[in-house]
Amino acid sequence: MKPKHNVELQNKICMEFGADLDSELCQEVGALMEECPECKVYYDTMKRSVQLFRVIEDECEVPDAVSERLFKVLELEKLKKDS
Amino acid sequence: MTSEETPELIQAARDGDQSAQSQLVNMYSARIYNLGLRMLRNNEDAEDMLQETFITALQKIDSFKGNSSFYTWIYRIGVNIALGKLRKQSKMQISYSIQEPDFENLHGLEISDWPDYIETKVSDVEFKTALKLALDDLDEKYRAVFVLRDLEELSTSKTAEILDLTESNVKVRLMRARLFLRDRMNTILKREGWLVK
Repeated sequence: MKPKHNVELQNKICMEFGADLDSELCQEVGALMEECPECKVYYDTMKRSVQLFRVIEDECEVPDAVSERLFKVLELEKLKKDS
Repeated sequence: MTSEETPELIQAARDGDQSAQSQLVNMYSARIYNLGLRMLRNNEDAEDMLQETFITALQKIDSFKGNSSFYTWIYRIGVNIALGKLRKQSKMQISYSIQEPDFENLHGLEISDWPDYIETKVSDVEFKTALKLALDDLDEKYRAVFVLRDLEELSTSKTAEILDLTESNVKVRLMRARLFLRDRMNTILKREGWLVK
């Protein structure tokens, strides 16, 4: 399946890819993509990939050993977080 | 122990109060460490970055004017240290540099939809590793923007300010990063036989 790009639309899409994915601007672009099903698939899969990267790059705790070494190098006494 | 950054806490840390300094470390070490992991892609470099960030921050705490939050100030120190490391890595990896993707060639791409169950596959270790490798392969100048905008969720203007780029440059780099990662994911899904024909 080859995308049938409208150049003007594509330029707009490309520029707006840099905007917040949930922004009004992006939503408008998303609506415009109804006219170009292949562009919509591309855009939607890009949005989904960003969401997936957010999931796999979720925040983790600092490992205890890393934290111990940090306090040691700073010559500070480690405080209990809930103290 | 307070869990909020207050002017009194900052002043105490500035005055050399070790308990206050420890509280600041407790409050912000996880966020700085995660920033390091996201930008530098390995535990050792993230730990180095974490240590360097707090050493620098505590040494220079007198220069913190309070125009922004302490977190914003230390975050910026962390980003700069991470960028310095990325630039060094980039120089060391010149002979192994990754070919920049052909972003302009969208017209020729085969577009297949992704099945609904992809999101449930993130717990699959091999799939997760493949995704992480895709992010590892993203050129550092694009990765820094992607991490700050899409993972750390900073605004375009804040990202531009921290990375010393124009806002349009941030937008272009973010678009390229997203396209690169989308295309890498597509390749992974194709390899796994998960694409909708």
